[in-house]
Amino acid sequence: MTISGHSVGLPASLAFSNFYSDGVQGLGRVMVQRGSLLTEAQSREPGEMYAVLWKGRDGFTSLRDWVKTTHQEIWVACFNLETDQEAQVVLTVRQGIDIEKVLKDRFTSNIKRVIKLPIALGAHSPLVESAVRKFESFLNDMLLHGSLQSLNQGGTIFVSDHTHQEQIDPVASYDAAVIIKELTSLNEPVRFQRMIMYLVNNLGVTDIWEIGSDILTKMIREMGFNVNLRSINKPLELDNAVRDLANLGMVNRETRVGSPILELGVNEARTILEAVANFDETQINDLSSFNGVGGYTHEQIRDAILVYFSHLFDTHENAENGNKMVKNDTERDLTLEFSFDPYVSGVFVTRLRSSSSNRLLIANVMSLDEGEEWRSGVDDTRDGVRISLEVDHVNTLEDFKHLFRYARWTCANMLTWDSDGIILPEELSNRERR
Amino acid sequence: MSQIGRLAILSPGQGTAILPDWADASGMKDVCNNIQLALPDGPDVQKLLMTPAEQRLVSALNAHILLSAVVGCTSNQLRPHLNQS
Repeated sequence: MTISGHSVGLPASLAFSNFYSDGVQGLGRVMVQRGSLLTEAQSREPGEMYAVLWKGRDGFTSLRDWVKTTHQEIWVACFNLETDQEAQVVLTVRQGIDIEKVLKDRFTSNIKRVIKLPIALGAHSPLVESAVRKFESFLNDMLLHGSLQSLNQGGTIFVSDHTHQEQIDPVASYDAAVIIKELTSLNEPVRFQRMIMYLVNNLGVTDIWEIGSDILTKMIREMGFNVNLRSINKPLELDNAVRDLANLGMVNRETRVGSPILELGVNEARTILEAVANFDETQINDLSSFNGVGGYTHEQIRDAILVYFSHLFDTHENAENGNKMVKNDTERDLTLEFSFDPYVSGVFVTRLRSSSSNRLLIANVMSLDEGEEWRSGVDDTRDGVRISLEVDHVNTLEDFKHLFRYARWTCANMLTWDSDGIILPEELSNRERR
Repeated sequence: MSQIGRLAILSPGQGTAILPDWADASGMKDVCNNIQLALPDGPDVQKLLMTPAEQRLVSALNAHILLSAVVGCTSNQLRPHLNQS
């Protein structure tokens, strides 16, 4: 998932991530501080904000070049929207300037409408500069005390609505320090359309939900991007969204196998499996960061397994009905199999058996359920390693390391399915990447 | 809605007129209480939310409070379903 916003929407959107360690309380502290500092800035350097609809298309050039000549009286605060027909920007002006008259006198044929916004502020301009350092200091102090934290690597990603130069992409990051820098760019202009372009063209966003209004979705619709838009502007719409997600979750649980939700390509899936197979699990030193080891979330790993197994299944004639594939060497049989479990809907099981006795040597079960935690288990009868990772069950760090080693084992064997031989868990560290 | 691909959640800027209907949203009371912790001297978050948009004092602080209430409430309800990390 991606989170972003327009101006104050940036810190607000972070409520949809783990950025605020204490949830809504942290969100409240940050938003109240930001609002207080900007109110204080307004008392020092009063400003007003106006939406300007501009007829015709010139890449915002005319207005942008003109404001540079106004000697610190007028600034383009937001480059919101530009279509073939018109552009929409927001100007910040020092309080007391009759901006509508000024614009209409200067750009007679281009100004379609000038609308004073219900904002008591001169945001995204030097008028709010006094707030920048104080807000930065406040956020860094929260970070220092653990009240803010980086987003889980490979999970929800934050995208800024600023670009610090016109032609570069907006900052996208999981890193709390980077995010704080973006949140404190209070005096930088917003480039909303450029941010949306980045979401769609670079991050592959297909669905955009706006929280608390429909202003942004209306602008995105005008931009003409091929995305599904939804605004949650009132409690009833929130109820509907919760219901839809719940229903979708039920569908996902029923059709989990073969229905990865991340739409990974085979190459992306292979990259993830390689990262897992090559990750040294002895580096895991913090249970809280387990969901992200190797640089990928369990959700990404799960979907990579689904995609890559589907690829193997589709490209091998000996694949059996029932989503099962078997490989042999002289001593053992290795089976990859999707199966259903009454408790966790879908599981991916890797089994190693003795060819001569059919005795189970290793079974590695990985849940394909949607929960945030890994639910999996391993039974290595050769070494007596038997670990179960389940809800309400306390596991040690060593358990997690063992489980990850067997996840590596599964991934390594999937990646080398067409090679001779079967990789054993204990061989992983010395084995070259494929 | 049959499926969601890659989802982006966006939050709007200050010009947004937050509807007073949000005061009755499920879970909003707790959210307001949590935000109120950062505002020991007021204003009263829940009262501000219940006030019709045109009657609210236009200030940066009020805009921030209102948006955090709506986004906080929404995230509390949506996050468990969003399969996010």
